[in-house]
Amino acid sequence: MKVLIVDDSPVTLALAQARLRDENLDVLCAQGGVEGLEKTRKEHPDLILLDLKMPDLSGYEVCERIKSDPELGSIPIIFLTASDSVEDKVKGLDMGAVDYVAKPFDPVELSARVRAALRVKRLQDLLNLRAQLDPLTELWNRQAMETRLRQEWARTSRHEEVLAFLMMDVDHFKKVNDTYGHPAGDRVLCAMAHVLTVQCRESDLACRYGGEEFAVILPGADSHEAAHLAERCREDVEQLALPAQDRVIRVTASFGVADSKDLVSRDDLLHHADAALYRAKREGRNRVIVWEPYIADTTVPREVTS
Amino acid sequence: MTDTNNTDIEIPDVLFSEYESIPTIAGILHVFLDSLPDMVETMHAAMDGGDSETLASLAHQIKGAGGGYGYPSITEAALKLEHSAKESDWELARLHLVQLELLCVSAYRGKHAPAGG
Ligand SMILES: [Mg+2]
Repeated sequence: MKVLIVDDSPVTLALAQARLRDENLDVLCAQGGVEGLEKTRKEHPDLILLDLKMPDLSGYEVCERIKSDPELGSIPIIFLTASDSVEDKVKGLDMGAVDYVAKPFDPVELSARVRAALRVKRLQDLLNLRAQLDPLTELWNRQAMETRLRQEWARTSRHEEVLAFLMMDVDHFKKVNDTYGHPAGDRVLCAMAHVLTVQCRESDLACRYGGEEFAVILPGADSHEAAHLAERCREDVEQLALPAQDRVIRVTASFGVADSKDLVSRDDLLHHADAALYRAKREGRNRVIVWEPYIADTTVPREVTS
Repeated sequence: MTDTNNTDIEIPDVLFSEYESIPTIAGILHVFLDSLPDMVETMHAAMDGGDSETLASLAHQIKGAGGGYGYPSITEAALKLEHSAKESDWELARLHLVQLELLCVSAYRGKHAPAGG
């Protein structure tokens, strides 16, 4: 794990670094508040040891800025203070610091407190990850997908890159549930997730969008490339044969894809993929449709799909 | 003026770090010791210029580092200096600064002593 030490004194930085040398950590140093804030943004450390008294930007100010930044706010902070005033310590803890360590450091106290804070951080990361996963398929859930799409959209727009979005819906899924029961339906959904996981690139983000609907964010891909991925998935799904009650479940899936070219809103990206998916259903299912402007005129409410 | 503010800090000829036997700390003692001459000089200048804020701030820094490098008596002396500087008690501050400086010299000697003991 990565620990950032922020202190205006190089003497203290050298000492803290030496004290943490045996902890098997990636230790970074920043001399002063401004550099500390910069490195926090760039490196996203798992823990920050933050000096209170710094001439360029005080520890309080650094803490305030980190805590008010949604991307950094969850990074735990331990204040380092040579002040013996209880007020300073209370103020630091009130501002969201998890702990403080008095300077000069006790030989074992610093590493013990760092270990404790990192244990909590690891647990929080795990819980945070679980909250973002769909428990059945272990793909990202819809909420996590929306967060990632927002981030990818921002990144893509900044770098004038393209971004594709794929939606997949299992055909006649209700019939699977009605015929073979919900446990069988769940197995079908897990098989779908497996197909997506196998076919997606490392940089793609597959998620369970809801019910029997899945989505994939493809950073850097256009709809043509996304259609290729969709086609490979469609073939894999068609080949699936899941044994159930002496019979074999066979399913197909429909796909809609779109990309971000010429779009100003990410909602349009979702609407386009959704409209293409609807079109795939209407044209007979088990197929991939790429969004084209003509599709916009044929869209009707989603409830019709199945 | 209280007793603890008086000349009760023992100043040995040679001062060794309590962490001399810990290789990671022994290896960086010079970072601390080499920073001291400049700090002491700046503190003298601050005192001559009546700049109690700079004086207290530098004392605060040394206070925070000394014990961590295995020199608790340096932290103790720096704490006294920080207090007297904050109260602009120049007479006492001058005494505390001299004590601090002597401890720093002893620590420097300890590091460079021919037969470490
Ligand atoms: Mg400081």
